[in-house]
Amino acid sequence: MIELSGVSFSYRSGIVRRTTAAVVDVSLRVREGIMLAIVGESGCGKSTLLRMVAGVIRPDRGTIRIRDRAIAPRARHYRRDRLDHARLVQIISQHPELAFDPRQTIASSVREVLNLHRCPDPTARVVELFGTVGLHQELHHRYPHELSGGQIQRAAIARALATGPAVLLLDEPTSMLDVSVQARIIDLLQTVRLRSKVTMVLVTHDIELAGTASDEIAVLFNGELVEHGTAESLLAAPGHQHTSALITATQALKKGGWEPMRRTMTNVSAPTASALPRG
Amino acid sequence: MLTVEDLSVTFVRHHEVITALSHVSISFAPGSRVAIVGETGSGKSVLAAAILRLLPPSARATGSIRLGEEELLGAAPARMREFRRMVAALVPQSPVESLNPMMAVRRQLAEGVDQVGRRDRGPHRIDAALATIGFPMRGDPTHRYAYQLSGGLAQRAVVAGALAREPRWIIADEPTKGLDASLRLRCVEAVRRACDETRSGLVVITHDLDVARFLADRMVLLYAGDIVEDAPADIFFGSPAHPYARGLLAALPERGLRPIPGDPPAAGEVRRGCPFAPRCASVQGECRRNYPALRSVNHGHRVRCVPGA
Repeated sequence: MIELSGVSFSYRSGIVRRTTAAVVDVSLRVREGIMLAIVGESGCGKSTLLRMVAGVIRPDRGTIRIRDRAIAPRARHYRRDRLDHARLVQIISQHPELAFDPRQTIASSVREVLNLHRCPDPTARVVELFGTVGLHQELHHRYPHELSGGQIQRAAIARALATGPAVLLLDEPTSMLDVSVQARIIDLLQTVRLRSKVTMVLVTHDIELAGTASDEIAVLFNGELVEHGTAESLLAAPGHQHTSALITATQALKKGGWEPMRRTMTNVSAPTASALPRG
Repeated sequence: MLTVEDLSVTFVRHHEVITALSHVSISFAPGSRVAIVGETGSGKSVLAAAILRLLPPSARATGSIRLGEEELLGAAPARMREFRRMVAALVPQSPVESLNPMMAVRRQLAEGVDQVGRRDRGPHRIDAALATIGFPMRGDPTHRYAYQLSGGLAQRAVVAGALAREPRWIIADEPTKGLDASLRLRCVEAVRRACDETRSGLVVITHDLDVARFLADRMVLLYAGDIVEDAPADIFFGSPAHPYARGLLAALPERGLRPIPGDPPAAGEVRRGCPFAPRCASVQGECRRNYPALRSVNHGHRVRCVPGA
């Protein structure tokens, strides 16, 4: 379904174009219809990886194939390819309110997408999509700032589903939301996934959420894929020290502190991407 | 003792009066650690801002906020500045944004200590505060500017700044927002160690129940601008009395990620009866007619719900 082979990406910054490796030689296969969670600390490259799958940035090296199609856009048919790609992959961000035009109502934002993709009856489809995500009729003609965090995230999911994508990429979709709203969004995403057989990739730093919500988990550390397995097996018996560290950090908060767990944990912060240790 | 009594806060927006807090009464004993939890829009940050008198000009607060016998709600601005420096120090929500970008971090911390009249002991206090919270001093990052610090370091610098002033209470507004799991743990450990060593009281405002449990021994749950449950932490997490508290706990990933149906009331929306009734699994006919009072179930445990729900 989604196949990444040897994907690498570096950010270049400053006058001397200093490079900072964000994703290093990641190879990964995601089966159709599952939810894969990519977990890791801030700055480990998980969002960069997601943006490459979304086609927003191009990998320096390696290939990404979705349903046996390479996703690098060809310059000659750029617009057509972008529309084709949008029908295949959609992305939902951490800050959905920024992804909506503040001058448009949410219904009109979704209709715009449908018009672009030449939907025969956009008005009826908007109502259907908002029905799918459980947005009440009175909210359809509100502006993004008039909605709560959970409501605007549901509107973003409706807009992402407008093109009927095969893959939905979720970049920390619930990190800014309260627990009950988070549960509701994850519940909605699971319903959509089971009904429409959409493959989902969830990026999160909450390994507990990943364990509950997803089928498989991939762990990134400093841009490298260090572990990939089913959620149950990976949480029950983590094979990499960094996975154990992530689980420990979450559990330590519940069990009253870091100190009792210090022995099982390396007491070092993750290195910053620009200052990697040798070895 | 810091006592909030019958505090109501309203905002006027587009000629419409929006009630953010209604008739909230709560007291904070010296050295106690209280978590104010609730969903976005429940009024928890407004409560903190009201105590510190940092509400925007469009807000109107009525009721009483007392430090001992002294009334603070009508106190002079100079007295409130002193209160914020010496008595209740705020650890703001976004540390990088709340530090001055034009001034090295250490100078800002020193400025805070100077203002509380502890100039002679300033450098010593700052070093002690930084050491207390485990700030890594290799290369002394405090001589850098805010933008040069990572989120975790900036957060710890802000906590140290509050601590160096030796306040009686630290008021932390969402101290872990946007931090990942390991940074979140380091940050809350810093806050807890700070309180342990200085015996300061703590009021932590958060929507993260794990953080609340880690830091506080008393939980105050707000819903739609009202206290709905006020309980010791072990009772709150073990056998909460309010259906909303039970719903929030069931929504945690480790407890099954089960959502609470429906939405909280929108700002300005007035409902008859209990505002949680439309979402409540144990709703009774009475709940839709009358607004239940905050009643005491046990020593130190109050709940705003009908008996037997």
